[in-house]
This record gives sequence, C-alpha cells and structure tokens, in this order.
Amino acid sequence: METTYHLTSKGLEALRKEYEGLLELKKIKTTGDDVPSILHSEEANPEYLSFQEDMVLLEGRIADLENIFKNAVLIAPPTGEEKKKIGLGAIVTVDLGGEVDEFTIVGTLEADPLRKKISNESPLGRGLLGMRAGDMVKVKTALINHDCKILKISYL
Amino acid sequence: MPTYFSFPSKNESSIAEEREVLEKLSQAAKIASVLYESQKNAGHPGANFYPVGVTKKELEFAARKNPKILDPYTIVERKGKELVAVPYSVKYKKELEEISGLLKAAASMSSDRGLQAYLRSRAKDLLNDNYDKSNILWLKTKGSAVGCVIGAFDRYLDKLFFKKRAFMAWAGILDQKLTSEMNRLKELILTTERAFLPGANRARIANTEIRVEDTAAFSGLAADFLFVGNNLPSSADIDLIQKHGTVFTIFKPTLEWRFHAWVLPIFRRLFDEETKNKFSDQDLQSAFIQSVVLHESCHSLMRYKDAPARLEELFPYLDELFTDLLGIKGCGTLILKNALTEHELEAIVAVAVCRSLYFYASLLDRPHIDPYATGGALVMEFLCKAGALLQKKDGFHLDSYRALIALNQLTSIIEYYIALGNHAEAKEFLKRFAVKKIFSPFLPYLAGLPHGGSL
Repeated sequence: METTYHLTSKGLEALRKEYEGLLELKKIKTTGDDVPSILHSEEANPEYLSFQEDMVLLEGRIADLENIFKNAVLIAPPTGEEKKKIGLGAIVTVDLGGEVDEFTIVGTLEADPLRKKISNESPLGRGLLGMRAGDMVKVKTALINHDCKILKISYL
Repeated sequence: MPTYFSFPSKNESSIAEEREVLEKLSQAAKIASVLYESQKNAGHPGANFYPVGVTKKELEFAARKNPKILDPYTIVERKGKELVAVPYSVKYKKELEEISGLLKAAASMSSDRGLQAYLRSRAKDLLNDNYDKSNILWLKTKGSAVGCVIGAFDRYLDKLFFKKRAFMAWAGILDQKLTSEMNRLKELILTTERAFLPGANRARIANTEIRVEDTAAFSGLAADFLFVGNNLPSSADIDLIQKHGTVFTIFKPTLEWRFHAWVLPIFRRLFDEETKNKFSDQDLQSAFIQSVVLHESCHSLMRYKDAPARLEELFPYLDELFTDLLGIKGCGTLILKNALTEHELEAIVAVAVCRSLYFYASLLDRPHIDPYATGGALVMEFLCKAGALLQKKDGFHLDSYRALIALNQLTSIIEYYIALGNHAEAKEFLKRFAVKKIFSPFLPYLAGLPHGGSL
C-alpha cells in the first residue's frame, strides 16, 4: 500500500528545491573530473568506496523524494463549516493540563515541534483532528494521559 | 574534598590563543578556590559568613539597624558586642586584586572582543561587590569559544538565610556541536507557556542559553558540589535575569564522571533484569544529559519571584526538586507531539532514580549537598508508595506508568510550596520525610561504590 503525503504548498516547494539540488549534485559528482577510479592499486580505493557510499545515500534520497511527489496531496484550507474543525494546516491553541500551547497541524514530512509544527500522526495530532474550539479531548499513550482543551482554531 | 580541579584539554581544535587565555583564567580560578575554602565551614549552618555561635534572631535584629549584615557580599564579624559587616572587597582585597589582574591579562591575550569586554568588566566588578554590569556582558559572550565565570554567586553554603554568596569559578572551551543539540531540547521545553498558580508572584525569564563546555578549570563551590551544570546569573539575581536572561553552562568532565562513576553503576546494581534489559548504556547516557538540560531549562520555565525570600534556607530543597519534576512532567507533552519517545522518557525516569541515590551516597563526603539528597528522598518515597519501584529477587522493578503518576502528584505538591507556601509550612512538610529511612532499603545496592569523592 502506498502512503499519502499531506503537504502544504510551502512544504512541497521546499522538497522540490531539495530535489533539484540533489539532481545537480549527482550530475557534478558523476560527470566531474574528480570521479575516483575504481581501483587505486590491487586493493579497493578507499576514496571510491566513500564515493560509492555517498552515491547510494544520494540516490536513495532522490528516490524517496520522487515517491513523495507521486503520492503528495496538497493541503488546502477548508471552507464553510469545516473551518471550525481541526484539520491539516489548522493553527490550534490548546490548554494541555496547565500548559497553553499554539501549533500548526501538518503532515509527517513537515513536522517540526521546535517550529511548532505537529504531525497529524503524533498522539496529539491524531487526537485533535476533527475537533472544535471548546472541545475537551483525552490524549493517551501507553505512559501519558492528558486532558486537552481546544481554545482556538484558525487557518491561514 | 578538593575545591579546585583542572582537566587536560580534550578539545584538539582549540588554538594557541585560547589555551593561553585559559591558562590565565585557570590561575584566577585557583585563587577563587582559596576564597571559597575560607568561607566554608561544615560545622556551622552559617558557614564562615557569620560568627560561630551567633543566632538567626541576633542577626535579624542587627540587620534592622544595619542592612549590610544580610547583604549577599559581606562577612559578618563580632567587634566587641557589635556585629559588623565587612564587604568581600575589603575582606578578600588581596586575592580579589590578584584575580582581577589575571582577568585583565586574559582579556588582553584574547582577540574575542565580547570576551575581552566581559573579563575587563568582571575584573572591576569583583572589587566593587556588584556583578551586574559584567553579568550582562557575560550573557553577550554566548558564542565565544572560551567561557569563564568567576566570582561569588551561589548561596547554598548559607544555611541560615540563603543569602550570602560563595566563591566559585570555571573556565572552558565551547563544544559547539553538543551546545546546538542541547539548545534544541531546551527550546522544545521552553516553547510552551506554563500556567502559574493563581495569586503567585511569577517571574518571566528573558532568555536562556545553553553552553556545553570542555571545562579546563573548576573551582570553589562549583567544584565542591561537583556540579554538572550551572545557571548564571541565577534566581539570586532575579531582576537581572528577568530583563537579560541567563546562561546555563554544562561541564562535560563532571557530566561524564557522574554518569560513568555513579549513574551507570547504580543502574546496573539497582534494577531487575527486566528493567535493565530495556535500556542500553547509550540510552541512559542520553537520558542523563537530557535530564540535566531539562532541570536547568525548568529553572527558567517557572520562577516564583518571592520564593527565596519566603522560604529562605528551605528554598533550594524545594526548588531543585521542583525543576527536576517539571522537566519530567514537560516530557509528557513532548511525547504527545512526537518530539520525544516514550522509551526516552522511561530512561529519564530510571536516571532520576539513580541520581537520587547518587546524591544520598555522596552525602557522607559532601554533607552540603543535602538539598539535592532530600529532593531525591521525596522522589524515592513517592515512587515506592505508588508501587512504581517494587523490590524483586533480582533487584527493583521500575513501573514507568505508575512512576509518572506519582511524580506528577509530587510536582503539584511542591509547586504549592514554591508558589505560595510559607517557611513554617514548608518546614513542617519537609520534616515528614526521614531521608535516612527512605534510602535504607536501597543501601545494599550501593555497596562497593566509591564514596562521593573526587573526579
């Protein structure tokens, strides 16, 4: 089964930039003068081994990105009644048992809690999807059990 | 116990200029340890800040006439029937002038303008008994390769009033990579706005920066307590940190020592096979560093401005525990956001148990760390009562779920005392916990470990 990747237009643009940069890097690495020869002497050339390793990583990331583009779904701001519910792209203010926090719900690829972007697949993201301002949600994991009150929902 | 340590440089990238600057700063730190030794007196709750035999009431009475008696930078002496306050700058004039000279020499060797300005300012401030100007400049040196703090700062030695500052110093080279990693965790913790108890006098700290250093010299109170990290300026300078923030320095040598000599051996002896099999050494080491960062970050997350004045000498007993607990509590929301795993939090809880035992085991050699050991006792008592630590044939089993519930309860209780409680009720509360008795079931597991000792 193929995974669907939910992305904002900004997030998609950032990944496209990364992809183009990697293609350019691959071109430089494989066509430049510095491409190491396969064998330096009778033993394997360590420089070549390291080059090969870099190429595997590079090609792996390029393939990952191509797969993401193929299965990307752009997050569109909701309309009408849906605006009052928490969905992808929502900016949410919550009271988490005494801690007031504000963050945006994003897809896993864009998640960065340090920048206040919480994944829709995190326990909190999962618990909040579809909820409205004023709702109380119990967010549970094996260890943690938090009551979460939704204070505000907005979309850009 | 030694109060000065020097460590061989592990930072191969440090350049000749940095090494020369560090050499001068290390010499200055050595003199600070002499001053600390003269302030220390384990046999008297007021250490040597007050004359031996003087009562708290007598000092409070004298302070009404002469507020300098309880000034953070004076030594109280008897002159006939009178109590007089001698400023540090007078009492320690010779040594402070030497330190000041060495700081100026270090400044002239450095090409780092921020560091130069700070060291020159500190050289002046040491002779004036007021570090405000140089503290502000210290906060501006956050990216400097060389870091150094020297002066009279922490109040732990004054068990009468928790007012007098003890001398301490450190100097080291910044570990840029680890500093960035630890700042990330700090940002995660400080990103939320915590609700303060209604009616309490809260203080919002402007900014907290973390520096991880390869410490070269370590002296005075910092060395005596074998700190793994220190927040300066601290709550002792609350107005300053509200306006300008604070820097938390992590000392790599003591951090590594405490983990390898204490935390890890305690973990291996204390827990049952099932608990032990859950965590690798690497998991525990990461958890230990994380718990240090969480602890210090939480000093900035929640500050109740009037707590030191209300709780006096009891403040550190409650405050150090409170920040430990807040750090663990804060991890809960990080898990919900996928910023931390449950496995990481479980390791942090296991490390909290080991740290509590470390403080108790160190108490024999370092009785002045009793605020930390008392906090550890409360943690152990709550864990045992909640069934989170169960003794089995092959050691104690840790039930992380129960542990988190118990620690959450303890957080709420301690927060009351820190936010609103008065001295008498805090005293009554702490009296309920017999530290020795609480730790007694764990003592067989500590057998054979080195005493609090040296690095």
